[in-house]
Order: sequence, then C-alpha cells, then structure tokens
Amino acid sequence: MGLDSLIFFLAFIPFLLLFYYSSTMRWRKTFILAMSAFCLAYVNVDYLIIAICFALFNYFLALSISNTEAEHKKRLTYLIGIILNILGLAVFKYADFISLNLNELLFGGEKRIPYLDILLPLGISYYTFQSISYLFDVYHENDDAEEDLADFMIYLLFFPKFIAGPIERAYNFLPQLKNEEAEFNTESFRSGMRLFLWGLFKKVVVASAMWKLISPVYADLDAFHGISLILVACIYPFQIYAEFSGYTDMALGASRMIGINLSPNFNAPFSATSISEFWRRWHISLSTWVSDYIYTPLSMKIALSKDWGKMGIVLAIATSFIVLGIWHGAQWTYIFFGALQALFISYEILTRKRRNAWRKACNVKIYDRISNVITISVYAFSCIFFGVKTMPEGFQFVTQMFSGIQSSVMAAIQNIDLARMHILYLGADLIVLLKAIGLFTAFMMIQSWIDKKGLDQQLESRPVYVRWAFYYAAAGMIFFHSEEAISFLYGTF
Amino acid sequence: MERKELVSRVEEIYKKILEVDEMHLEDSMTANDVEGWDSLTHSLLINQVQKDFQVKFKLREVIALKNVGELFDLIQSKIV
Repeated sequence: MGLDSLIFFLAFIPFLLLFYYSSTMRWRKTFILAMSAFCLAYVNVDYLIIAICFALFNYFLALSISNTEAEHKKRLTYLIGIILNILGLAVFKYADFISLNLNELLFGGEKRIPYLDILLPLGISYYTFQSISYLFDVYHENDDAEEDLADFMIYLLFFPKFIAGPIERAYNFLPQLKNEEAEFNTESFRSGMRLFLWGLFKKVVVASAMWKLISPVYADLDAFHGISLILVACIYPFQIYAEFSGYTDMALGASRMIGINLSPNFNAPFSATSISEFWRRWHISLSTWVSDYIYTPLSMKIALSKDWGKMGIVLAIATSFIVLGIWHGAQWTYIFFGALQALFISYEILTRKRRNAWRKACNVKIYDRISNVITISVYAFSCIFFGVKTMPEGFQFVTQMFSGIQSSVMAAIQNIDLARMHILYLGADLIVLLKAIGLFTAFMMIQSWIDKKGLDQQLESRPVYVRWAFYYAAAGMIFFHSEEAISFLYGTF
Repeated sequence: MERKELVSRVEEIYKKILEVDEMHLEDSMTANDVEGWDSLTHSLLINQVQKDFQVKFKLREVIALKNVGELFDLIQSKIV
C-alpha cells in the first residue's frame, strides 16, 4: 500500500507505539518485518510470497558465495544468482513485451508466442536491483554476506522503501539494524515527521494540482497543438519531481521516525548545467546503481580488454541508460527515453574539451545559466516519451508541438478566451491553472530554501510561530486535498 | 620498480588523460580529490595504466580499488 493511503496511517500509528515501547531491538525488528509483510499482503498476498521467495533465494546464495573457497565455484554461484534475478524480473516484467514484439516481428502480429498475462508484482524492480547489487558486493567487494535472515528480509521488504525506493545498498542499510543499544530518539522522530509532512504535501497537494493541469492533454492528445503542448512538456518534469521527490521524502521521513536513514534520491536536479550532472541529482539511488553495477563494470571490461578510448565509454553509457530506461517498464517509450539520455551524455563527453574552453572564454555565470536552461529543456523534451504510452503518441506529441505554434499565437491575439484555451490550454477552468501556478511556485521556492541547508536546520533557525505556521499550512492543505490524490507513477515500476 | 618512480609515472598518465599541467598524487586520494577524475575518465586512466606499465588487471581487482594507494599497490604487484 502507498504511504499516502488511509490504511497505512491506521496501521502506522499502532506500529509506532509498539515499536517505541519495545524494549529490545529484536522486538523492534519483528514489528518492522510484520508491518512490512502487512503492507504488502494487504495489496496482494501473492506479492508477499514472491518477494519472500526472492529474499530467501538471495539470502542463501550470498551465504554460499561468501562461504565458498574455490574461486571458480564462487564465480559460478555468483553468476547463477545474477542470471536468475534478471530472469525472474524478466519473466514478471518483460515476458509479454518480448512475446508481443517477437510476434510482431516474426509472425506479422499473429499470437504464435503465447502471453503469460501475469500481474507485475509490486516493488519487484526495486528488490531485484537491490538483490543484484548485494550479490555483486558480496562477490566483487568481498563484503560479508548477511547471516541474520530477519535482517536480510527487512533489507528487501522494508515498508517505507518497498514500493518506490530508494534503491538501498546493503552496506548502508544493514549495519543500522545491528545497533542493539538504539534508543528512542526524539530528534530523529521529529525530523522524520517534518520530512514526511513535506513529502505528503508535495505529493498530495502540489503534484496532484499540476497533474490536474496537464492530464487533459495526455487524455486527448489530438485536441492540443503548439504552445499548449510546449507548456505541458515544460511542466511535466516538474510534476514528476513534485510527485516522486514527495514520495521519497515520505519514505525517508517514515523511516527516520524509527531511526533508520535511507539514501537521498534528489539533490536540486533543476540546478544542473548538464545532463550528466542532472543524473547525479535526479533519482540518485537508481542512477548510482546503474553507474556502479552496469556502467563501471562494462566500461572497465572494455578498457581492460580493448583500446576503444572514448568510444568504449560511449558504448557503456548507451547500454547503461537503455537499462535505466527499460527499468521503468516494458515500453519502447522508456527505452527511447533512456537512449536519449545516452545520446545527450555522449555528446557532453565528446565535446567536453570544447565546452570547457567556451565556458572559460565567456562570462561563467551567463554560460552556466544558459547551460542550465538548455539542460532543463533537453530533459523536458525527453520526458515527452516518458509521459506517453507508445512511440507513435510520442512522435504525435512532438509533431503537433511544432506544427501548431503559429495558429495558437494567432488565436491568442484575436480572442482572449481562445488565448486561455490555446496558449494556456486550459479552457476548462482558470482556477485550476492559477492554483497549479501558485502551488508550483510555492513548492519550488520552499524546496530551494530546503535544499540550501536542509529542512531541519531551516525550520529550527526560525521562530516557533514560523515553524508551526509551516506545519499547519502543510497539514491543512493536505487535509483539503486528500480527495484529489492521484495514482503514483513510480509505484508502478 | 621504486615506489617513487611508479608514482611519478602514474602522475604523468593522469596529466595526459585529465589534460592538466600539474598532478600530485598521494596514497589516500580518491576521485573526489582530483578535478576531472570521474567515472568517465576513470576507465581511460586504467586503460592507459595497463598500456604504460604493460600489465593486465582483472575486473574484480579494479572494482575493488578504494584509493590511489591501492592502485599503486596493484600495479606494483603486477610488475614484480
């Protein structure tokens, strides 16, 4: 279940009470595991069973890697583990996509290769990636395999991060479960509450209002042209940011309340001056995962055996970002989205020397500002394919975006109502537009204020009435918008 | 090979790949301490080190490197 659902709150409060009144870490961990199992089983018991099977498999396999002395056996066990994890994910997530494309390619669309038609288990993309990184670290980095089964189960099933990450590393997460002396910590509880509240506000209030603004366009693409589509394309990355960073903050906040620190996923992504930098600031737990477990081994493998220079790096980048794209789902649009990132980053690598020279020759501030605008625009363009379901829809979006600019401007000049319809594309409701603009502005201002020093430091350095005004305003807005919550994209991956 | 000589040869490689005029490496240094040394230039550096010292590294050995000192040790272990 989502961290913003009513049933979660109803279960979380008794969980917290049991957690805090537990005298030992063992009891606390039992409650964490029970809560995690409940959150998953509430949605579908099968999902829980599948997740437990993955966890048991990886737990025993890692122990076997760790305990095997002979190098070839160790390597074989490791490779079997990696292949079976990928295969497991492929069967559940990509089998029908592969069948569909093979049927199209080989048999002209006739259903010769059967479809499995199975539901995508919740959280599978997250826990398989965590399992793969764990096995990799046990094998390559000689990290110790976890011996406590309950701790390992918590690592994969931990409820705050189960649905939408962050994709945690075992070496960051597991040691936090070993502190037997951990005491109730008011500081981290308060800090967690604040972060959870801010995340809930971003997701339920800001992201929903922005989605309400742009969703009519995605629902009826034929009806929109020109500036309307350009505006939607510009707004969409910020809507995803509000939604996903909101959910991440809720996960980090809920987790911090019980004394466990999860990894950050965002670091002011829209301040980046290149796409390479953008990906160091956006969905960090995924981009660093791809960098550490796909890009680095692959680029190293190439560098160690071939003399391809920068082209080897480009090949490793392309592979890594296509994996990053398809990780989001079995759609060509996600693959294309990943391929676009690879294209932009390859361009940046190959022109780095020249661009550095330009930067030195120009006014650095102006150069960085322009680079920032270009970075956001380029990313927004790639997000067009992130937001649609099929490639033809993506191309339709792009074509209509450029084809209707003149007519929409002309319409705007002639008729103010049409201007609202065509330029602001929201014929439906001016209130929706003003509300979204207001909330978006407030969100970006507060977020950049938080990014400077962190939420805790910013709030604690203010007078008490400012702090409480912040809490009441956020909670009040969440209360009034609780009916409008939308389905969460990253929870479907 | 003397450690000092090894270090100065690796510094030459860093200068060449990272396109800088000055480079001083110490054992405890990591990619965070050297401007331009990132995941993109790292594979070029390793490739050049292999060529220059005429050694062959394994993937596992390179991935496990934690700092420049460990790279020096790895090169040393291969050329002895």
